[in-house]
Amino acid sequence: MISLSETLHLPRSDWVRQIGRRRGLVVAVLSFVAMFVFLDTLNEGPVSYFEISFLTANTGPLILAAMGQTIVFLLGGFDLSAGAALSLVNVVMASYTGDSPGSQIGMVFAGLGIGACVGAFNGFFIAFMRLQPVVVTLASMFIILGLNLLIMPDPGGYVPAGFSSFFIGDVIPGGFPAALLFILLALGVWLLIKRTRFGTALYAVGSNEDAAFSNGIPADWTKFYGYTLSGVFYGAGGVFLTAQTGSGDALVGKDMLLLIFAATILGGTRIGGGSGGCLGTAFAAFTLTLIVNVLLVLDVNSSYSPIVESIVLILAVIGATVGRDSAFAEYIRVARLKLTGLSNRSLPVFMPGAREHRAKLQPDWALRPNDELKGSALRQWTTINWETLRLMLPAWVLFVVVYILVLAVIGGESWSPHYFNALLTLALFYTVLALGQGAVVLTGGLDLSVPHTLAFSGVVLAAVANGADGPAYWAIPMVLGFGLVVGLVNGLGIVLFGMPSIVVTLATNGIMQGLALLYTGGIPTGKSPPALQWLFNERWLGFAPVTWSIILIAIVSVVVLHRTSFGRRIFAVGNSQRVAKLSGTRVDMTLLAVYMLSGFCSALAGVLMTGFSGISFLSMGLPLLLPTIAVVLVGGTLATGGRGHYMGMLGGALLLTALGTLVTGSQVPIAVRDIVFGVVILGAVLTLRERRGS
Amino acid sequence: MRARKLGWLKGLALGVGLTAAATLGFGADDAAAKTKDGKYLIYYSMSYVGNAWQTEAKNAVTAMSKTAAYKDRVELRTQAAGANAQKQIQQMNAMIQAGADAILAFPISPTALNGVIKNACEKGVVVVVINGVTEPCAYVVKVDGVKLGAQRTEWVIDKIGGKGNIVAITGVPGVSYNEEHHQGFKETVAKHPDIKVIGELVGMWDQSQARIKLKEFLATHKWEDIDGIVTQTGCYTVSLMQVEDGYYPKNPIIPCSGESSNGGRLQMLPPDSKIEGALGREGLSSGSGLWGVAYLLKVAVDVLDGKKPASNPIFYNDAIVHVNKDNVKLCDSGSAADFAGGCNTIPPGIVPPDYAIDFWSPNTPELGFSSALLGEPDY
Repeated sequence: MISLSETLHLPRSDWVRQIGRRRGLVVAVLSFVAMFVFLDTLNEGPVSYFEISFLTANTGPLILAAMGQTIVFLLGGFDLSAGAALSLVNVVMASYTGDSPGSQIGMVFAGLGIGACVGAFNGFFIAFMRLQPVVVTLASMFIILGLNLLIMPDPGGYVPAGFSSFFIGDVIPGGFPAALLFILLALGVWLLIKRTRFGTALYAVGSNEDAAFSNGIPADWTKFYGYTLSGVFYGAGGVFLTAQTGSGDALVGKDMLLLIFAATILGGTRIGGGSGGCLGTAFAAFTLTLIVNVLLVLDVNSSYSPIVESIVLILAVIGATVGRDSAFAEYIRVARLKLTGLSNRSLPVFMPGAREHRAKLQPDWALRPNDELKGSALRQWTTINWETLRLMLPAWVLFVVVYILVLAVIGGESWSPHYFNALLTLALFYTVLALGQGAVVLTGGLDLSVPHTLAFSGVVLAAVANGADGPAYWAIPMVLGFGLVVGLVNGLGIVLFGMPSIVVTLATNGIMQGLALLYTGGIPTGKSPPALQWLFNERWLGFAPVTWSIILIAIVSVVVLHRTSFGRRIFAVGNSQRVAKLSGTRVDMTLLAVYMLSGFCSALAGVLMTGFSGISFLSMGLPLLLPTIAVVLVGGTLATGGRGHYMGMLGGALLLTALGTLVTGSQVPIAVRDIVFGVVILGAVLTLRERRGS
Repeated sequence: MRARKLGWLKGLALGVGLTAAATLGFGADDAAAKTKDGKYLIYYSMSYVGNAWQTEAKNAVTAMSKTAAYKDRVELRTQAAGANAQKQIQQMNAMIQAGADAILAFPISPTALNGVIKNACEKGVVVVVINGVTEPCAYVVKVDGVKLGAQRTEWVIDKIGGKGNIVAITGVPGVSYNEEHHQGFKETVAKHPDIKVIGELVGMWDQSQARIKLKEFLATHKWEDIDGIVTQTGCYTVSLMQVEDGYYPKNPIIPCSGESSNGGRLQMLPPDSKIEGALGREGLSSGSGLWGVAYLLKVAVDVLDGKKPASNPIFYNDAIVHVNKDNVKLCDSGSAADFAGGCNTIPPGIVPPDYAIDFWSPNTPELGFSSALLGEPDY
């Protein structure tokens, strides 16, 4: 009652409050308008109807797919399969659509249905099997990518011209483009859904699943329907994509994924759920599409485009988050308070006897005698560590299974140390990267800056060392230092501005790509120091020195993550930032250190990769990103943080590497290899699922 | 109550956007404007910026635009679309709007760009692409992948006497050129009953991926099991790995046909030449035609001048320079004239080993070694 009278009598503050609440949407709209006006003033003549029509038609697939992703985000999820799903609908439609109207209409529904199936597949495992969204959608992404190649190995296929013009032609020739109508239709559908009980449940589950459940909302079914609905939107995006391109290409959707994420985040939908919506997403998608025009109109050198695009992304996200309640403002407030404290000497440092007091806090760490557990020492140890063992066992067990398959299917050299030398050499990169990425995931983040941080350190090292050992003594520490700096920048972006880790690290990744391009002029030169190559080519007892070093890496990683106070803090932050903060953990310092660790590991992997290859490449980090994330998650790490063990990740690294030797060494068709990869990831984590109530 | 209240803001937001679009837009399509100094305005829409081949291709076409024949006639501007077809579509449309006379492109998808290409053609913009798109109004400069794949496979089979185990290293699955090349490979192998394919590795046109996949393969196989290797990219790495593993010099390097990497060609020089990296290996190095990207510019200007090419698509397999142990020859200066004189390999240390050396061809006789490295012509 009170709130009603307030809204009636205080319209002005209501305005401000509404805009404040919807800042994400407002920023998305404003940046779109700003970009549009900017382009319009730069171009000669007014923007034509054709351009509007073209922009809406070309942005349509992105908007629809990003709307699907928005629904997933609202549920607190994350969907890596969105781009692949778009392609799946595209290749099916381009392969099977006939000329008859019946076939065309049927295929539209088939497209929506395929999308819904993808969504339902994800939803089933996430809602009912209680698996983590990242790992389920990573697996379904690989499975779908393989299917796409099976359905259409070579781009082609066709849909009738009438089909295309229905979706991207004109409703009123020269007046209203069909594409805009369909986008408005999709937004209308979303706004209607949002007002239903299901829509409310969607936001409720995303905000706080337990609270929603306590209020009688069926959280499982809401998630399942939510993912299915997101799939329908991917289906619509796929139909639109097919209409727009008139044909099929198995690869065309895959690389839209990052753009889909960017549109969703830029549109003001929060990662972690509960706040945001599809309207902002639509505007953000237009903005992102128009960046291409801005770069062209300004004639920006193509070497700078990754940097420029990253900076635009960062600025837009800062714009959407900065305000009185932002993390940055909080820091300024605290800094001011400290300054005041310094001037009137009220800070704890000035308290008399603070140091002596702290010394007294040292408790007596005598180990409590065990009076509950019985049986042998091993049995007691297993009982104590059972929960951790349960998490890492699947990866190790599956590794053994895959190795037996290698022995049975390929045979050959696979029984010998030769096999294990190759296996461990290839697993090395994962074991190094898993420490960094694993630490980040344990805090609930994700580091997407790995690929180009790795490549940057590799190309710089090769160029500086240029085939000599002498410069390597300072070049290797230098590039490792670069890695720390990249991590520091990531950490500062996350801590200072409170930005989501995937946005910051995605942007740093783009910036590092740009820096590597500028440093090398696009063509990396130089060679690895011979000492690094020696690490791979020398044999000690039949094994290369790097394979022995995995033992060292494992020891260091286990100590860092599980035996230091830093490690305890990582787990504390991952379990709950708020609780960690209230318990006196320096959450910000821990996050900074974690991202610096990840940057360091990326750079180290770049150094090792350079030694492995002998020369370095601008693209050498890219193929490692997704498998590393898979390694971390398959090893039993919880994607939202706070649970996991390095030994599990090590098992994951061995499992995925062994799987690589299995599919590459046997005659499995290329398209099926991706599917095998996806199925194994899913199979590995199925056994990890959380039991209800645990 | 709250739902209603939020509604008006949404409506307002939508309204603002649409009004902005409506008031600023809906004018007439204006015709393309040429550059003020009467040059042809030509855009190049490249794909990724992050790999050396793409950079070399960009440099080569830039160098071509600076040669005497074109520097006063053409203004070339380059934009990168990354790996995203949607972005390239938007980009090419922006090029049309910016008044391009011609658009050159490295198409990310052979099919997705059809709409925007058709639209460009309707507006009188000449579109020339490398590798191919299915829209017939575009001029296509391409290598016949099936033929090249067959040629490379035939060469290896011939070298190993028509009998033995072969490993194939492919490019990116799902890309037309890769599928064509692999089709040529499979068709040729099918003609030889004594040839057995023991592995198909996904090399992604990337030397570092070729190494990783071969390492995976060699976990379960020995070098001794392999008699010949057919790659799209990877011969340099494959041969180097045999040295690292000590297989060479006990055995000769396994015959390998594939890309035109400079390092791969240096490996063909006789070991007694004292050239760094020389192994005297049997190999066929031919590349898929980096120079084809520079050639796009020539075709575009010809079409703008009213000279239509004799055929479309323009297949250039005949102009590919095939290098093997017998005709490998080091360059002195690396100038275009030097290449015309028959040299085909740059001395070590000047360019990286994975550097594609096929920027020169009889069709692009202007391009010397500085073209692909620096984007500058010789003269």
